[in-house]
Amino acid sequence: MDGVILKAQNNDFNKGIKSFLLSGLKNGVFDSFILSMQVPAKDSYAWILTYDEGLVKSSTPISPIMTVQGARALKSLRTGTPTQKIAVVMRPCEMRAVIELSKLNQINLNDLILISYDCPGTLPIKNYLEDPEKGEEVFNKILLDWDDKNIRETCKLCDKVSVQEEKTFQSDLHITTLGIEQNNFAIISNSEKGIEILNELKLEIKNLSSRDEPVKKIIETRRKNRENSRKELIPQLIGLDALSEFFSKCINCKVCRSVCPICYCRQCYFSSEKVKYSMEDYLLQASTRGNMKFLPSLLFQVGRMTHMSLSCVNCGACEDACPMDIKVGQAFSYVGDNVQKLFDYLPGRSFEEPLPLSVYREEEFKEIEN
Amino acid sequence: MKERIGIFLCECGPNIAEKIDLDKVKEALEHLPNVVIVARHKLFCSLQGKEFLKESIKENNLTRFVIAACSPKQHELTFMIVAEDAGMNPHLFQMANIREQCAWIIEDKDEATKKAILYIKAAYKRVIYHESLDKKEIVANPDVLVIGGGIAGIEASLALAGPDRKVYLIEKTESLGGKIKEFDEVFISFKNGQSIIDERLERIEKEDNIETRLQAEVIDVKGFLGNFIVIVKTGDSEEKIQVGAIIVAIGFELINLSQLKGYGSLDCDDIYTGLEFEKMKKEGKITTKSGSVPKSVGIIHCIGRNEVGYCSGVCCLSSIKFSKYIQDKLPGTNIFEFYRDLTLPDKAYQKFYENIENKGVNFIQADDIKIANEKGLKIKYNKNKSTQPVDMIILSPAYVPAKDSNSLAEMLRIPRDDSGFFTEEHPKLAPVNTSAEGIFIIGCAQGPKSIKDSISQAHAAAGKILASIIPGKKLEPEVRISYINEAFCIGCQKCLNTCNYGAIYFDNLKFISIVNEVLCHGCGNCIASCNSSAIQLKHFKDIQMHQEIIEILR
Amino acid sequence: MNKKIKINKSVETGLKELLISLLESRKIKAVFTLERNKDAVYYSLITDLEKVDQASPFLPFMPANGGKLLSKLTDIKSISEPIAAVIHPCELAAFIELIKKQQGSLDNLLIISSVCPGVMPINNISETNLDEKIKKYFESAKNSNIPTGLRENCEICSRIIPTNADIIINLMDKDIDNSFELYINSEKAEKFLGDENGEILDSDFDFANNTFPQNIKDIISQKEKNRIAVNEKYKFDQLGMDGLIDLFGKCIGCHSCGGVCPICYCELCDFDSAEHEYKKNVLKSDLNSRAGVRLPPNTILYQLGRLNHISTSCVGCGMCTDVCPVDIPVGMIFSSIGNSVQELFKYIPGENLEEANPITVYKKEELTNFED
Repeated sequence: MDGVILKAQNNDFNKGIKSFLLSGLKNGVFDSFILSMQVPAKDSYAWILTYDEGLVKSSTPISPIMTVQGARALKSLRTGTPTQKIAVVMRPCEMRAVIELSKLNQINLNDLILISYDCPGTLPIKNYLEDPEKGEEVFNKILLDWDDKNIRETCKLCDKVSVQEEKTFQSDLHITTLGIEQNNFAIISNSEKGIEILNELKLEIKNLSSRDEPVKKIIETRRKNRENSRKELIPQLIGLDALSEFFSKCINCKVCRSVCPICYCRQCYFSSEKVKYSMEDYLLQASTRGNMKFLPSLLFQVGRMTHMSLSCVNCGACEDACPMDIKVGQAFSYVGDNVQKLFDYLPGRSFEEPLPLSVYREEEFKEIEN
Repeated sequence: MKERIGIFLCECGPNIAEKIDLDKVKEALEHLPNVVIVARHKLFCSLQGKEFLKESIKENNLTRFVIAACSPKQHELTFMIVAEDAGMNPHLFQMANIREQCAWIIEDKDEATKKAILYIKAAYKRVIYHESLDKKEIVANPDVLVIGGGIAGIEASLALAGPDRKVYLIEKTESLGGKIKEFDEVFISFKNGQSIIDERLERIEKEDNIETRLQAEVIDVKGFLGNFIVIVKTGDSEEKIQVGAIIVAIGFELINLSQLKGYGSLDCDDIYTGLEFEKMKKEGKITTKSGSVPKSVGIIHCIGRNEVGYCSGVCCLSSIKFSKYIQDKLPGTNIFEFYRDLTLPDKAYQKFYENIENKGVNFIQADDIKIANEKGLKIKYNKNKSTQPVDMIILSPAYVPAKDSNSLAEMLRIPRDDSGFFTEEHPKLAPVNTSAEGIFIIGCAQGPKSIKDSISQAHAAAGKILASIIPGKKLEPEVRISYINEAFCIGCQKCLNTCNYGAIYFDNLKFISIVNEVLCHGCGNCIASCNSSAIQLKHFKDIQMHQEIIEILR
Repeated sequence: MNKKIKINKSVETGLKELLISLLESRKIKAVFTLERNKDAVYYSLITDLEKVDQASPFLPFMPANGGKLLSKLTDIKSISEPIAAVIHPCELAAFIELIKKQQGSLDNLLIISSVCPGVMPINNISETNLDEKIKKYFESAKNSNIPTGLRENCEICSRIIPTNADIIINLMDKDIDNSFELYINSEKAEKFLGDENGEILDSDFDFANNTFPQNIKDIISQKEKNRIAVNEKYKFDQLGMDGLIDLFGKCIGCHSCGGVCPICYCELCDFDSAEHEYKKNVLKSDLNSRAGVRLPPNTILYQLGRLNHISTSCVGCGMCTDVCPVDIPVGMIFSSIGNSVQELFKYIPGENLEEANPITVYKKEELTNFED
């Protein structure tokens, strides 16, 4: 792959990225930004939309934790964007969710320039919150050595960390650090819009074959991790009994849904009046089984799975938020992978691929007919 | 007002009475809250039965009722009319199907009775949640769009067009007539194909109410019976055509010979398909490539029959017709017809065949036919055991669906069978209908057919349309349609994609989807696509279905 | 009234036997109480006698606010046959608040509650030494101490007496392993209990009218002291906007606090509705005036709005803190501010079903100090 090589003094990629963004602002290819920024109490990060140079300078494009999944932040621009060339820096899984939401008309991509980056994973929020300062330190090290000891379980299993020949996620530009010489990073165009922008900036495009090996290696490691972890996970998910056991701790707080970028409904079916029954109805069920759990959470979990697994981007936000430490992200990602395979669909892979359930294909699932 | 609910048990002659203990059923239902009458009758769909039902509703001041009888597919409408006659909203009742789902399928009487009680209780539970729905009327467009200008399409157009009904005939090539134009003689009159078409073209010419679009194609279809909106592209220009019904008559193609393996060398000189041979005959010169008159001709039936998996049904006859052509034009030429089975079902065909055979054509039943080009053409058959050298070969390849049928199926959302031909709604009872109301399929678009059958189908479809869309008469659209709860709609527009009828549009100011009540057909697809159930279907609301299901699972 | 039944069994066994006998005699149809299965704990509607025997009515956990659950079960239709529910005082208080908002009904519910020592954070259920911890918990309660490791909210909760329950059990009683007393606190309870359940005695205490043992009074005053300290920390007028940003800056807007809150009963929260969506022109003017806007917007507005909506009714159950993915002490903030709002109106949520929520009534003499 080819791309533009830029400087990052002292391997400070955040700083390098910010100066690239600001040069874009000067050249008029960007007019505003959506970036991650530390909150005043310095104990978390939030998304900020700004055109202000000062605010950009104090932002942290690559932040140590995923607070609001980026796609959820962009969703708040559903009714329109205030400017036309908004550069958005987000992780690959956030980009994938952005693409999915754009297909669901929740995000309008016209005014956005999506910039993804090589993502080594993020820290579990809970761990970070124990000591935010230390969290920063730990993460900055991970950015350089890609050691996965301290990142979230779901991130350890993620193979969509960088762009390669075989496309796994869509963005306009991609920032890469893997396999690039010390104190440098590179920018690769990942869409037509991306190509235009790099052309407009008149930067010298170089061959980046040095990153092929390291990218391949990390992807292989992640895939192996996933394979290994699934060996343990799968038996816990197959069959109704196993599944009930897996979600037995669930207290039905539905935080998983609330933080999920794909669960975009204004009101969840499973929180609606439509799934409300009278005590009499429950009593009936209780009397046939002896007891009846409140509220039955398996219906919610499986129902949510049915609704969103085709678009699940394995971002792990759900697992990070679950107060009961259920491996909900890993379970959904396993089911999602399988469902997606059935339709030969990869959420967020491209702008164009339509959502499988919203298109009618003559030739689909013939084997299930009759 | 206090609810007064009636439950009616139909004996359906002996059908239900003998299999279900209706006294027991009655006993189980009488105590249900608000039930004021449980009554049985021999046959509720009979005149006396309907009268009894009507009087019972009136006498008991019923607010709702359940009728336990047959499938709603059979008699829901019957009882809706009774309810209306009795002065009740026709949606305030519910049918429990205790015939097909209990009496007919369960041997044990006790079991059948138990299940029947469960189903009736479920219907009772559900009917409590039913709501009155009011009737509507809409104007129906009597005009018709015919896609495909072959013989079937032409016949249908001519049958339909009239002073108060316009027909739009869409043809993708530069002229009407389809494949028949190429036929020199058409069985059984042996009239010239072109002249058959010309006669009809003349009539089309004179008919002001047929508008023909040549080199045109349909690119979008929305709506439903009575109100279709079709976008037709002719050259570079697009036009919007509004019609009440659509006939698909896009014909067939011959299987692509290059796809076929196992027939030896199909690409040699002097091998022609039936259509190519017709053309040669029409030009009046049946010669080999070298210009000489063929001394022997081999005609091979069933080319591709194994591959497509069906008998095209019409090629035997045309193959025999080729023998007649050759006998007439080149007397003395030896003719060999290689076939697997002869398909000659019509009353006139057998005689024709016998006649030709008596005149000296060799009919050879053969398997595993291969063509070889070794010092002249040779037909090897029966596992190379026999060989017949010939100067010319005519092939009868299988009929396959027209190229456009895939895209058209997606556009019209009508199903196709495994071979790719459009599927009729019912092979016997509704042979020209499709699963989409107001869309018909005729001729070879539906499967290989003779000219005669294609014409019959054209008239059948025309008849259906003439009977259902009468100019000036309004249609009563479905009232059990979807509606969207604005507060819950998030504006993802998935419902727009799944709607078969283009009945949902998006309000760009409010960022929500809105159902067009006239276009909505109440199919329920949008409800399935809406994760948050912001859409509900009247008469099939979640709560109505849940209550029924909960009761059944009791 | 002012009767009690003395049962010479340990409290858990005794209560379960009582519930079983009520089920057997068909006085009740089912029991609504906590069940524990390995590291899962949940409310359950039980009809099977054996399963009642295996239930854990006094397990110090709250997987969901029982008042919220009971409201969901009774707001479509009140119950037609009696069911006994064992819930915590704050759950009962929440239920009563919800009933005032027409979100449920007490009909045919026999509410059994206890003088509550508090519950533990829900995720503690997976801890390896849990049984040990629970044992210690009951030991502390028995000796009239505040157990350690409680939800923060329980540490400042002085409303530990379920004044509206039909039957009250005092868990802060030395003798609890051998015998316990059921205080009959309503006429409804009298219909269910009789001398077949144990010896009926006159009670020295009247929980409904604030007469109860000294040890409980001591705990209440201790907890009130704790609360005052916390109230100081979250004093609204002192916090200011900066203080709010510090407190809620990490909020990710998942609205899960509202989701589990028993008082947040709306089908669709106003802050999730189309009304609160960021409109393009608003965004544009915000961006111009502030140079930067946070996405999603309205982080603090949501919290303030929710405070506004629920603070008169907040029962301080602490469910919100338990589920907050970014560890904001939501429950402490809400309970503390709620408490001061409630003091303003002299209103105690869940105390009296007849007393209307103060924001639903107009009193001429109210809040005159805010008028000019």
